[in-house]
This record gives sequence, structure tokens and C-alpha cells, in this order.
Amino acid sequence: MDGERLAQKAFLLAAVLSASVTVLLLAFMVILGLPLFQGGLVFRILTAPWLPGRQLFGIWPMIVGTLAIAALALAVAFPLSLGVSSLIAVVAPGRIARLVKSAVAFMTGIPTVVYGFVGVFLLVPLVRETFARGSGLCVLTAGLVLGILVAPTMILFFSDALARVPRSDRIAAEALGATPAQVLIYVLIPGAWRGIVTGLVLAAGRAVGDTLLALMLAGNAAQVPGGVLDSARTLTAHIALVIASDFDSLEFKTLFACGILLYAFTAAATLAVRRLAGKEGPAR
Amino acid sequence: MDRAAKIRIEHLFFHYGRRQVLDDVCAEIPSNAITAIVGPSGQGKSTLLTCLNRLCDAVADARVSGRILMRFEDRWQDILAPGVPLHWLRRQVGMVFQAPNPLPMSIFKNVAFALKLTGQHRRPDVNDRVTRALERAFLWNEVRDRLHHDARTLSGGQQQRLCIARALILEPEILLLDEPTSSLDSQASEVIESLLLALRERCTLVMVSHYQDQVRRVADCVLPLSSGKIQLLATG
Repeated sequence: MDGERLAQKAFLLAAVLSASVTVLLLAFMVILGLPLFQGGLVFRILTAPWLPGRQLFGIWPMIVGTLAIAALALAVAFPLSLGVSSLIAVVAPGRIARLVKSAVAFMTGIPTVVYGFVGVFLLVPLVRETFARGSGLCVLTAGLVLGILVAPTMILFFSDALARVPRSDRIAAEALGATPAQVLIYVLIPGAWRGIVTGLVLAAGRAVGDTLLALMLAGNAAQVPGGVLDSARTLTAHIALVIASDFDSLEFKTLFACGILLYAFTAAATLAVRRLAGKEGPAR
Repeated sequence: MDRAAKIRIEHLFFHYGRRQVLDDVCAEIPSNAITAIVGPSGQGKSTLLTCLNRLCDAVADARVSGRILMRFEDRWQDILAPGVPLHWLRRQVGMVFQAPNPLPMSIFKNVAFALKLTGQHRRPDVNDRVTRALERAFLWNEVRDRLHHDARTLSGGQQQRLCIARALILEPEILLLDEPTSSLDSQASEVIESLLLALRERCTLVMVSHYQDQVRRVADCVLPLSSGKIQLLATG
């Protein structure tokens, strides 16, 4: 009995500790970034270019770079993931599906740096030679590899959601003469859309939050990219680069703006997923 | 006899993995009549029914052999032959299940679903055919004012008639029913029974039923199935 109470206390402590870390993180960033919020500086930081030589420490290029690379990654990963999860759910259920699914689960465990490494040695030269422009370190390269990185998350969510669609719905459609493609389009995807959106939002969070791939593959130029073949820098890569070189300057302080932005994005994504999951029910 | 037959089952065997479910089934099912497949549970009645629209194909490890001939426009066709398009077959052979299985959408969309599958989108036609199917299924008067409500808000009996309407919209020549009243109360069952009798004029019905008195009331012909074989008996 005593041991049980002790265990209960220990678990409670662990829960409180981990929950408070999230809150403390935000508090830490806001307090240390406080000077930025005085005198409208934060507005200038969010919109200005990054020109340290002219004392301009704006993070606008990094915001655009992050969004561009993440959007490209999702644009690559979404159709790919929907295709693979449809394969698992409809086209080849059984042994092939199990094989594909375990391969996908395995992919989630591969360290990001391995993807980056493969990207540097395989994709970067390919992009450079195909487009005969720049170094090959660009939005396109980073977006493509990031897409491969986030696809497994989506595939696992999508195929779980597709598998949760009631079998009776599927049989009802089949008995009416629906082809496998029609079952997928008219029954499975509409029935699974919540899981599909959840997977997409989580993958977006992962794409925005990833640091290493952009750092290795996007070229890290602190400029607003004009196209997919331009070099770009993400917020996360920016933090990693500046933190290595500076301390306690205005330049350094802008990192807190980056951190708060990333935090806000992740929080928004999490809340969106929570709301969707909370709505899970029979209504449609 | 041959002219009146709609379905001829010849030496049908069915295995799930190593388990034999149907063992040399031979039978003739007359057209424009209600044929009831009866017998103890777990003896292959539903399996026999799902062979008739080849829904059994979806079951892993299922093996079928034999012939099932169906007469469409005075031509006999073996529906187990390779190359028979399943979606074509299932548009000729509708099916209603034991538990009502409306799709998670409105009443109207449920009935119109098969039209969507066949690419018929012209609004006036669709409305017209949905109305007719609901009328044929004795449901129109109960749902005419709430066609766009979620189908799952209907009562069990209404849901089952909705499923019948959904199966009827493509005007199938054959309608399979797997214990269509087993999840309903006696009043709802009665409505379905009189509906089946009315459908007989334009449709060949094949029904699995557990209820002796129901079979006596509606069936023109009885196929007793036990241990995967048809036991020959006088028709009821």
C-alpha cells in the first residue's frame, strides 16, 4: 500500500516536471527575449532582412525559407504518403502491406543525419547537374529530402486512419459494384479524413522543426529565396548557426524571436490536432 | 423449368483455407421468385449467398470451384469464369446484409451512391431515380422531408429498407438478402416481408433466413443447406 502511494507520487512528480518544462521553456524564451519586445523592435526583426554588417538583424528571410522548404516537403510527402497508405489499405493488403508498413516504421528510426548525408552525396550533385545552376544546395534539395523524412509519419497516420474505417462501409460499397479505386475515393478517404489531416499537421510540425536537413542541404544563405533553386536558411538552421558564433549581442537576442515563433507554430499544430481528435465521432 | 430458372449452381465447392464450407452444391433458382436458403448456422448459407455476387472473393484464403450460371437477357453466363468484371456483376446482383449498413452520409446520398459509382450525375435523373427506389422500398413517405439528414438517424427497420432502396436503384435482376430481418423487431420485419413479396415481380430474390415461419410466409422455393450440401426436400 505504501509502495503504491510512493509510486503514485513519483509518477505525479514526473508528470508535473515534464509538463512544467514546456511552460518554463516558453517563459525562458520570453524573458530572455524581452528586450526585443520593447520599442517595436520585434516588428522590425520579423520583417527586416538579415544584414549584420548594416546592423540589420531581421529574420524575415528565415521565416520565408522555413515555410518554403516545409511547404515543398509536404507537397512531396503528401501524395507519396497517401499513395503508400492506400497501397497498404486497399491494393495489396496482406503480406506486402505488412512488409511495406514495417519498412516505413523502420524509416522513422533512421537518424536524420543519414538522410542528410545521402542527400549531400546523391541529390546535391544531381540537382546541380540537372539544372546547371548554383551549388545544388537549395530549397529544392532540402525540400525533397525533408519530404522523404516526414513521409513515414504521414504514412503511418494515414494507413491507421484508413484501416479504422468500418469494414461494413467498405463491403457496402463493394456490394454496390464499387471498384477498389472507388472504394478508396468515396468511402475510405472520406472516412479517414480526420486521421489524414492529423497526420498532415504533425508532419508539418516535424518539417518546420527539423534542423539538420536544412542546415546540410539548403545552403543557409540568409536571403529570401527567389525560387526553388535558390539557397535558403530556415529558422532552426539560423539558430544553430548563430548560436555557434555569438553570445549576448542583438544578433544573438533575435534567436529568441526565432524560438518563440517555432514554439508558437508547434503549439498551434498540437492544438489543431487535439481539436480534431476531440471531434472524433459519428458526425459527418 | 429451364425457362424459369435464373441461376444454376453446378458443382460448387468452397474452401476457407483447409476448411471445406460448400461441398458439391448443385441447385436451380427460379426467376421472379423468393428462394430461401435455410439450415443450421455455420453451415455455409451466407457463404453460398456471397458466392452469387462474388463478394466471397475478398476473403483471404478463399477458393471457389464449380460454375454459377446466371441468365441475363436470355444468355447464360458463368459468373465464376475468369474475366467477369466484378463491378458489372454486382450491379446486376444487389445485396442486403444482416445488419443494416448505411454509409456515413445523408439518406439521399446513400441511395444515390450507386449512381455516383456508375458516373450518372444528371441531377433531375438522379432525384427521380432516388425517389423511385425509395418508393419501391416502402420508405419514401417516411423520409421525403428529411432526405438530407444523416442516414444513421433512421430506425433499424428504416435503415434496412434504405439499404434495400440503395441496392434497388440500379435495378438489379437479382437481389441477395442475408437474414435481412434478424436485427429487427417483428413489426419492422413484417414491413420488410411484404416489401420482398412486392419486389418479386421484377426481381429474383435469394434470401438466407433462420426463421421457419418467415420462410413459410414468403418463400416460393427452399434450399436446405447442411454440412455444405443441399439436402433435397419438397419445396415449400
